[in-house]
Amino acid sequence: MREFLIDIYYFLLALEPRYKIVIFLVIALLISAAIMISIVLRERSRKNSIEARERRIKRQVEPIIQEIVFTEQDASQFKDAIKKINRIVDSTLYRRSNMNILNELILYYHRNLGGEAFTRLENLYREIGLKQIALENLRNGEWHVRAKAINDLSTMRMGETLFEILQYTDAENMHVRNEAQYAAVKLGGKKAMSFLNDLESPMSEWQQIRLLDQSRKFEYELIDHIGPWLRSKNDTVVIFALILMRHLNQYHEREQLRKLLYHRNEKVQEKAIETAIELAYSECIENLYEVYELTKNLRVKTAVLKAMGELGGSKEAGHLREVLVSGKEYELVMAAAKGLKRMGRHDVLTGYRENELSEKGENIVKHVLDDRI
Amino acid sequence: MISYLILGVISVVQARKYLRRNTYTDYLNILQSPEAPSVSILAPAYNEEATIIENIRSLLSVRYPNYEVIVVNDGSRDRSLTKLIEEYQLEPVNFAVNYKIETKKVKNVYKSKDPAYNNLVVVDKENGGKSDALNAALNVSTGDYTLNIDVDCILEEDCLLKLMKPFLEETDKNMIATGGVVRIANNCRIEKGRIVEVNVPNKLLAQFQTLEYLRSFLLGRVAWGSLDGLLLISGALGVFQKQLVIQCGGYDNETIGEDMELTVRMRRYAREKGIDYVVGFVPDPLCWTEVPESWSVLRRQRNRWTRGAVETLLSHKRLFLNPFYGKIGMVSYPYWLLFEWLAPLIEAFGIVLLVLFSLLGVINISFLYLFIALIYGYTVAFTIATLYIEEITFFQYKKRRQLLRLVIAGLIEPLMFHPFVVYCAVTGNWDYFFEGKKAWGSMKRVGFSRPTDRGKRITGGGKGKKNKPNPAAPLPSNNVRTRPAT
Repeated sequence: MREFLIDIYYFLLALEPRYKIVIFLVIALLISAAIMISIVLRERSRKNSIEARERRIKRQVEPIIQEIVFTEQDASQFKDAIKKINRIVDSTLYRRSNMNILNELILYYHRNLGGEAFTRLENLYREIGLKQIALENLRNGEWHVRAKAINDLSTMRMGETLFEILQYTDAENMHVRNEAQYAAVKLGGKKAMSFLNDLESPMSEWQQIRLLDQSRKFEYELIDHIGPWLRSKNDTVVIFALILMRHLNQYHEREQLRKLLYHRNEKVQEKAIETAIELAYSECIENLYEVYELTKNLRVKTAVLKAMGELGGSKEAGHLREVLVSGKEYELVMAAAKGLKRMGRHDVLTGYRENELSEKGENIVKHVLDDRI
Repeated sequence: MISYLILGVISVVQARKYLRRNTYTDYLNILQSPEAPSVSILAPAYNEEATIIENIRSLLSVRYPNYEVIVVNDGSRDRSLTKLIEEYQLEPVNFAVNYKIETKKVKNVYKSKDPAYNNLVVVDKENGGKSDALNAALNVSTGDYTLNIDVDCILEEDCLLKLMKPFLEETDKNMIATGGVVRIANNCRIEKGRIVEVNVPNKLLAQFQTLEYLRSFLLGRVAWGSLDGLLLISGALGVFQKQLVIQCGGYDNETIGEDMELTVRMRRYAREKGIDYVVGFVPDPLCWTEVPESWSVLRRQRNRWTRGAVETLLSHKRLFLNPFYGKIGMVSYPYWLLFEWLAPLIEAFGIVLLVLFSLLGVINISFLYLFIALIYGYTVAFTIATLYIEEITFFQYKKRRQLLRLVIAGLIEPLMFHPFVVYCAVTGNWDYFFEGKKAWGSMKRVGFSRPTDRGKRITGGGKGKKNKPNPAAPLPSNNVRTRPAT
């Protein structure tokens, strides 16, 4: 064997440099492929061992958690249970990973339980040291670790961490910022939403949806800050304030809608019209005529026609009829017809002279009158 | 080789970032939200009677709060429409179709009498091809966004939530489209229209395509997505901003590769109109499709993809190295041109020359062998790297045996599958330029070659359709893929 290898060595040595390079590359590539396969296989073994450990920990910890959650325990029993859990997760090599497993388990229970069980799980989360770990992650981790830590703290309703979390509501990293804003609303309620007062970074629609979802859990109350938010220089804050107005019935600031109908941002205009409809703000109807004339945006025009159908009277019915007869864009004619239907003006919808309506208009009227659609 | 390596590295970074973000993402917020934007799922169907009921049911059970499903029966000659009418208790309604885009005549629009299917709209129209059917669906749709799919694909339940997320998260630019990863369903276990067990296909040909799709979607598109250089959102799965699609004129009826053509046209339009836009890509496996298990069906499919890519590249040649179009003009388009269109031709030409020169004795044969070994080594190493990335990211093939089968397929692939793909690309070019095959014809979509039992394991497939994996997929070696299966 040794001689064979020596022969190969001398053979390679005698080759031209270009041969040597190519042979080297081929061997390097094949070796890297082999190494990668071995890494993949090792990775699988590692995953399997983690899964096995996870199963073991769950099997041992779950009964203890269930006992804590579902039975009345005094302080010493609770302490004993914590000691038992600590013994299970304690490991020189895997403590961190074991604590993660425990964390996910408690979060899982927390998401699926309510009432007294909720509070007991929160106590367990604190006492076992998971809250502390989350806070350390929040202070020292990479962006995704910080975002996850905030998410965990808010899921576990760790209200005492609110002030620390509030520091991140305008953080540079979007994910950390979003989680912090969400956690602030979840833990601090509407008062914690004051971060919107001077928020400079844009709020994504995704984030607005999340915050709205949390806000809808508030008991009905007036949100004092809505006024300043509606005047914010940050358009996304204005849009979010309009969404809140609509879904949380914040009538007290609806006078401001009139101004927002003329906002430079068409998305804001559209949301303002939708909000006016929802809050039945019929006082702005004259402004809607102006907006209809001024805007070139089809969506805003359509929203105006919808608003006229919802908020208007016979004058608006006349306007809608006019659009129905002479409108060119399908969307506008459709919106006008729908508006008339919403007003209950079937007489206007069906009372046309022959050839007054175009074929398109007639089809649209039939469409609108067909309740199956 | 270097370009594939760079794309691979970018993909890994992006996929990991995506996974990290999703460890704490809760889709429940949007699922319950009255503010979720409306989406229309557009599903063109042609002669799909064997599977249409089950597939529509799968579409109707997608998790999203505000969507409609628009099925377009594109003049099917079988009982597709009758079956739909019977199953979903459909009746014709007085729908005023908004012909924003010209299409073949819509005969009827149906809605269900059953309120449970209130979000189902079925359009019956004269046959006009896939693009025409999609345009008809666009005309009927009411959503702000459209999810375009192949009716015979299997969607993940959260598919729409995940595809919509990039639209909702973007704050700086105008997100005009997002695509998602398409995976191979052959041999996977499917129950009630959902994938419940992921398996590696049994047939070697499908295994080759599994590797190809992995490379293409996992490495290629994820990287191009993060570089905002995607030129293709697969026709099997893509969400588009409807208004922009309409402004661009909808799908082009005259092209074979309508999905790529639309993506390029939208990007071009946005750029020309000064819209600061972005195209997103979700690295999650969101859609499952069958791939051909017969060489002849695969040959037809690849031939068509080649023609589609060539056609699109030629019709948008203005983009080539045009700085006005930014990255797509300076990077994506030239990349496509070189790697997706010309590379197979250059490779085929090179092989012919090598054989010729070898016969004439003007080539150093031993060095040639070594060089071939180098290419082979690189291809194999790249494939194994793809499997490694799959392992550390989405980890779909969980059994060790499955992994080994893919490794073995990876060893054979450069010798069997790759030359075949090159051959298909060459014939595709020949057919396009010399035979004048530039369109689908009136009966474009072929459909499954056999009915699929959706309640069981998919054991064979044979559609020569759509689902090109990514064009710009890193192909191992001097690889030649035209556009890896959409």
